[in-house]
Amino acid sequence: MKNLRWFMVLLWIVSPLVFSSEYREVSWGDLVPKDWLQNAPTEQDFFESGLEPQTIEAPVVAALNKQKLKIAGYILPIKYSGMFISEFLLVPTFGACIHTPPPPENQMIYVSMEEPVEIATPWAPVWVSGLLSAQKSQTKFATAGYQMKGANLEAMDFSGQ
Amino acid sequence: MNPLLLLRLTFKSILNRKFTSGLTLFSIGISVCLLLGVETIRKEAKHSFTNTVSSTDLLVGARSGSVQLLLYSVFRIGNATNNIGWDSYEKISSHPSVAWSIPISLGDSHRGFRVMGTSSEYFEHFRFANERALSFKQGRPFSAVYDAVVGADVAEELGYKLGDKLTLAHGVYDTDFARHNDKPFVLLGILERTGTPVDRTIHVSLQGIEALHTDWQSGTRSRDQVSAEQTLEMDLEPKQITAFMLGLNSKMEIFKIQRAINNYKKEPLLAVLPGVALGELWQLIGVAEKALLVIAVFVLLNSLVGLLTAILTSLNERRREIAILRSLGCRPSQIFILLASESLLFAVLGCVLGVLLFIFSVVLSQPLLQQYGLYISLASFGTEQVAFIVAVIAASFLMGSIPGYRAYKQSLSDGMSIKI
Amino acid sequence: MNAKTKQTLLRVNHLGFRWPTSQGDVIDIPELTILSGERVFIKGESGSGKTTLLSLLGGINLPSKGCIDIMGTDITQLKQSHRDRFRADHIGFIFQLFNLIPYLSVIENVTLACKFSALRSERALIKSASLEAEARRLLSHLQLTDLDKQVSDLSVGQQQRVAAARALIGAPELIIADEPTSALDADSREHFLQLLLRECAQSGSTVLFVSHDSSLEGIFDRSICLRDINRANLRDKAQQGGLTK
Repeated sequence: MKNLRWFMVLLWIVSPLVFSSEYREVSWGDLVPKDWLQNAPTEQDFFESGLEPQTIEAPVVAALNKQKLKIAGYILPIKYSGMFISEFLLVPTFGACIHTPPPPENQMIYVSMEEPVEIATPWAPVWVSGLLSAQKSQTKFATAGYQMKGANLEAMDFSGQ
Repeated sequence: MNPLLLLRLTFKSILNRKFTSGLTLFSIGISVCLLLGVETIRKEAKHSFTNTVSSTDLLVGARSGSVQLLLYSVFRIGNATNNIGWDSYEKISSHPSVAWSIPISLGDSHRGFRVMGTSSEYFEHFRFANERALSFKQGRPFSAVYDAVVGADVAEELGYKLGDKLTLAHGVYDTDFARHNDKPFVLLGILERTGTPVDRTIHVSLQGIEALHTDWQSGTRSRDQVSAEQTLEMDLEPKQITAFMLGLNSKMEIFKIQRAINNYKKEPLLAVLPGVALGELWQLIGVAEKALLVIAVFVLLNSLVGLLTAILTSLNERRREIAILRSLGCRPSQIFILLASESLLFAVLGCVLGVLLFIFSVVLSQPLLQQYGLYISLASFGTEQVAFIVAVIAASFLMGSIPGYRAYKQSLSDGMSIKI
Repeated sequence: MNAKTKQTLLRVNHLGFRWPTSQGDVIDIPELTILSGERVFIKGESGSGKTTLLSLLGGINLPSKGCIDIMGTDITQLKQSHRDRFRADHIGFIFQLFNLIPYLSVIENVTLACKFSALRSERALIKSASLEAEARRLLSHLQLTDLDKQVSDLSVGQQQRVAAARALIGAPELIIADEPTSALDADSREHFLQLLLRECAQSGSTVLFVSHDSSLEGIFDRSICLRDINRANLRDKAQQGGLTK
């Protein structure tokens, strides 16, 4: 009887850890291949040069494809209805600082939520968990860069947890 | 001793003090109505605004603030500070990353409604509220220079049918000296209702706007007037537009294109993500709407305290009545319930009155609010509002237990002494 | 002359009561017995503790010592709620003033007594088809015809009749009247009393009538002077709070 009680306590402690590890926490640095250096973009005028847009300039980490991940960032809403967001871009910084170049393609994730989420403070940082896909290039069936099928969205609390 | 009797006694007791009861009830009703109204406007405003534009990746205008750009280009609130050159628009919209673009020209009006110059791409690519496309109730998009397509509210309020003639005016206010009387437009299409500012807009081609202003180059009507027929011979390619919307081939390129537009050397431009600009708008409004809610809550508390005061005051007059009830065998606990249920009854009736007042004021104010892009409907009445009402009733019952308790104690100590 | 032996309706033994704030007893009555059907006049001046006594007998206040036996039940041993029920079932009160509830009609004021007691309601329905009919019947016996007036529009005499009808409806065994005629003018007093006592005789109720007015004494079967049976020294205690105010 006593053993059973200890077992229940143990189960109780362990189970949240087990469930939370379903989504592996990653940082934005992990999304960048270790040997890649971001080049400063050329000064050429984007619209004048007739530059062919490359499908992806910044490479993705292939190993992260089809991984269940959890990452924190800022939401740029793309598809929304009222306060419910269904699709958005997740980026590491907010505010489109003029002094630095925009985030490269491997530092943003296009997230498509399984269920639209109501978020009262869309400008605040959030944790997003979901299934990540990493595509090297644009094909008929897949868009280049990082996409995620989002399962959970949580606002960050003030301690940054 | 059945509860129905207690209810009857409470009810009759309240009726006996008709005037003060009526005032208290009215006060609670108004504050409930206010609370419901504030909450509804908060929710509905957000909904109204976010439903206005959908599937647009970037909004571009002359460099100003992002919220300002959003407001004038999408909500038709406020004005642009500057225009964009047609060359810049062509250059940017022809870039291979761009899937579609919609140019917009604002600045004219017609009998209180804004006029928007645009291209046929508007009817093809514009989306609102969950990717709904525009559809026509009657007629079709414009094709000739002096064709016009109006939104549902314009047609309804001004009683327009297909084929009617419209005279547009220069500037936002429709005054006699500002009208382009010599160049009337023909109504070619009426759009289905969208619940967005589209309903209150008159759409014409960019060429139409250009034709309109051929003799307004100096800012006012020039001496040599150009007739409508003459304008048809002229080259009406627009030279300037107010703003444009972009849809891109790949969402991942949004930042690249946005940065490129912001750094465009030929002209100072601003490109924003509508979703982000909306978020900034909420931050601005957020403080105000929270303040509104706090005020509404305080108004309600004030009414409840008023109710408490009214009941406590009546308590003194009712000591005799309570003594009589005691002599008839009424238990002190029943005295408590009698008094506490009085405030409960007030609260319930007050909430009913408040809801009725709320419905009434929504119906009354709908047309006024629509002019500001707020589309309030009663459909938003959901669980949150019901929770509010339940909270109000519960709070009143708690308050009612104060006089209830006092009456309870008094009934025990008074005994049979005649305390008037 | 009555062949039936009279039962004891009410017996009081070593009854004592003091107000929580005062030092000495307000009531100290070693013994008091009332028989069923008796019409008793209790004479007491103000300050003699008569209202307090009545509230004890009615079960509204609990004595500090002693017992009060009414129809075989010691009401001092009952719980609060049972005492209240007992009072509703078996005792009718008439006060000196302000007997009626202002927001109820005349009929509703009378029938209110039955709403608190199923027993009295039953008894009332034996005599009439409905409670309202019974109320009308009693009121007509008490010579009150203006039944549709607002309570606040009735004269004092009329109000007292309504109060009497309420006390009588459903034939409670004990009627306790605390100076019911003191607010009436001298001519009306005796008339009211006659009507009241006639009705009490009809229903077989016992009457405890408290007053300072000796002129009415003669009509009653028995007269008790409260000062004679209440040993508590009240005059001195009158300053020390807690008396009938």
